[in-house]
Amino acid sequence: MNIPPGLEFLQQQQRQWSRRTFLGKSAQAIGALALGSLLNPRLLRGAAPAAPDGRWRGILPAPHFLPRAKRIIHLCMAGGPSHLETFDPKPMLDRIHGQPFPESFTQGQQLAQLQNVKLLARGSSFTFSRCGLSGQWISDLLPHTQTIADDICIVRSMHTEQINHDPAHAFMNTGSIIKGRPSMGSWLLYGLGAETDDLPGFVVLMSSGPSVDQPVSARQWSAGFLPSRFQGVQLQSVGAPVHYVGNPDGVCQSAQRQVIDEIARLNGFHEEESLDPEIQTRIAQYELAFKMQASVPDLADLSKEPQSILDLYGVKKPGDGSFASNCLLARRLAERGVRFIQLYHRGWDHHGDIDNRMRGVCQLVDQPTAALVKDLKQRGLLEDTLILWGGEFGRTPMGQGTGRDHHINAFSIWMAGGGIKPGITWGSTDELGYRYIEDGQQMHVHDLHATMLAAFGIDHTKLTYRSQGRDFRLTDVHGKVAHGILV
Amino acid sequence: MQGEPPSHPELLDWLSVRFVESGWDIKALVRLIVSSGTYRQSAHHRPDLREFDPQNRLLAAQNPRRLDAEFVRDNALFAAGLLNLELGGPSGHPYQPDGYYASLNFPARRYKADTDDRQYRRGLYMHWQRTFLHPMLANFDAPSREECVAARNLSTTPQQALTLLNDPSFVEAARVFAERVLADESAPDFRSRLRSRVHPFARASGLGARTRLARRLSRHTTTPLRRGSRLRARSRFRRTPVCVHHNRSGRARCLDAARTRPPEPQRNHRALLRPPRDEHSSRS
Repeated sequence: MNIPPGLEFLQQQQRQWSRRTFLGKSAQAIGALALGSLLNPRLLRGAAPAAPDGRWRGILPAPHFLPRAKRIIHLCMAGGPSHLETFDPKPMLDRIHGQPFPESFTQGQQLAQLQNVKLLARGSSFTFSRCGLSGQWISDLLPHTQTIADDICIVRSMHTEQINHDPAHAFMNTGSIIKGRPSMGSWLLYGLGAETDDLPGFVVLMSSGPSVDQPVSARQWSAGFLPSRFQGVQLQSVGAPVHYVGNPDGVCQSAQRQVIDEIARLNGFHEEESLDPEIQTRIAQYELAFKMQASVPDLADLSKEPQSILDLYGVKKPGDGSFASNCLLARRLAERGVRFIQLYHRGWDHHGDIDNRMRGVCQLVDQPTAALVKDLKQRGLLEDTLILWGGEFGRTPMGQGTGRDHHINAFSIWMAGGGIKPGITWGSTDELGYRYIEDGQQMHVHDLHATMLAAFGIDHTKLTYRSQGRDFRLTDVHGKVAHGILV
Repeated sequence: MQGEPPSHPELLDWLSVRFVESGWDIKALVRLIVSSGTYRQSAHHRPDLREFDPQNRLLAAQNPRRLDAEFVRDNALFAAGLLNLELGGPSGHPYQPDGYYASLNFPARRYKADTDDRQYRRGLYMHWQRTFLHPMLANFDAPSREECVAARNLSTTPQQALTLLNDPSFVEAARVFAERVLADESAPDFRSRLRSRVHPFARASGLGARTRLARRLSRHTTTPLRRGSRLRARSRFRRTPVCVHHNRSGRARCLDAARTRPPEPQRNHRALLRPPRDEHSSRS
């Protein structure tokens, strides 16, 4: 029989389609449509991911290994903080300050703005101290972080592949620079589901200062090819965290409820016609919006926080949009079961005047960061909350006038809490802080993702999603778990 | 690289050959595609394709595309008969949450929403403040224009729902829309009024949706109801009809939904975060 190719294709499609019942085994689900059906509780009938209340419980029926972390707070220091001024002291670099930077390091290497410029070594103007019982080296620019030295694991061997801000952020968030890939928060929500019905499971807050750097694009918290219910939701840092959260004058909650029910029914008609899985997302988001009308004011009401807590974080005026306010909100989000909390602080892109600008930004960030760790610890939340502090890349040991350029071969981050060994330093860089040392403790961005997922009990090779005929994962085809930093 | 087999291999071959023969002329290729019958098909739902080709892989119809942020607004205003279609000229200033520009400096700015017809200008003509993009536009993925964007994000977020439910622009559009259907005396029942008067909406949604909407509308009565359609924006806020919300037994339950204020009222930070009031006790 000679079947026209188009028809053959269609038959194949239909075969796949008629297997809708198999969608419970969603790991092999076909593309977004299949996932959409999964999201639809009517089609699920008690299969793993959704509970009777319709909340997404995650695609993974059970963790691959013992999960230590339940949620993550990512303190993203946007702009690229210098490792040489924060966590990676280099006496040798200080010694050759102002002298030509050895060519053996830089030959053939990628540079951002220092191309065709005579490369001079630039030592750090700041001193470092050994801190806590663990004796970790931390810059004196970060006196508060020094007090949590025994709680954090400093990773000095980070490296990335992207030398400009936006692609580097994308690489840090999604493991790729190609648009349309899901960010790590979306992956976690997809894999593990949410622990709250009243707030989005992936929340983003933004602050900046003292200087304002590049904007951070919303694509950094996009769900990519995952259904958009897994994408990050940005809350406003200043004023009301969410616009239009209050009803119009004269509309009571019961009237609002009726409107939403009605819209859900209309959307239901539409969905039956078009089978577009995004309509289920739309219905779910209306429901979430209704809940947020009560949960968001409660979240943002800092009036019940005692003065001692405000002082601990250094919050001058609650809701002022500062990093300090956002850190306090982050704790409150963590308490309320938000899975992925991402705080961006823009202000680390120090191409010039690095000494003064480091002082300025450290002053804004240091105290709230340490306060967050201490506060979570005293509430017993640190043990299952993973904290990640770091930027999208580091800065050159070569000076750029009075500053430093972007640098991908070495930078420092730290992690704390959920499943991370406290009080250790992992990995190292060469004597000038130019490149990570390959001693088995090197940490590529993919390795960081693999390790983070491992802290959540997820085997990074097994959390996949099929898009356009291929199984994708956060770590693509890479990623090595740094078991040495896991408890 | 793995991928799905193409749905139309011969067509791909034909397009490739055309492309090469045209001297690798990308413009011509794009023109060929977008001017084709397939591309220009209606996205209107075809029930007959649902079982046969649910994912529309064979392209028997156009895939529905989402409205961009500006058009979401235009669409609502148009359905209400409020949209100002004037071309060119200075930007319009729609309602915007109070204090949104509070941290905007050099110089400090105060936003003043238009109180005339410019309020209802098309989204294209909305005042555009870089880094402080109108929240409605931002919520529907309009770029802030801080950087060039080739393709906009496509998201489905709770903020979009909140915007459509509570942004004064949309509340007003909804109110005016309802007002018109209620005031229309050309047909006795709401369903035919919806069908005849509300052309864009009626076209977009099916019978079931219209029936439901009509049923919902019939649960409301308005007193006093103004005659005449287009009133000046200013007076619209001053003398709004009060809509009495009935429960099933027909007893008035609470004052409802009728009034829209131009901007959100001046409220301090704390008050802004107050949970929405339930007005049953005080006003029924």
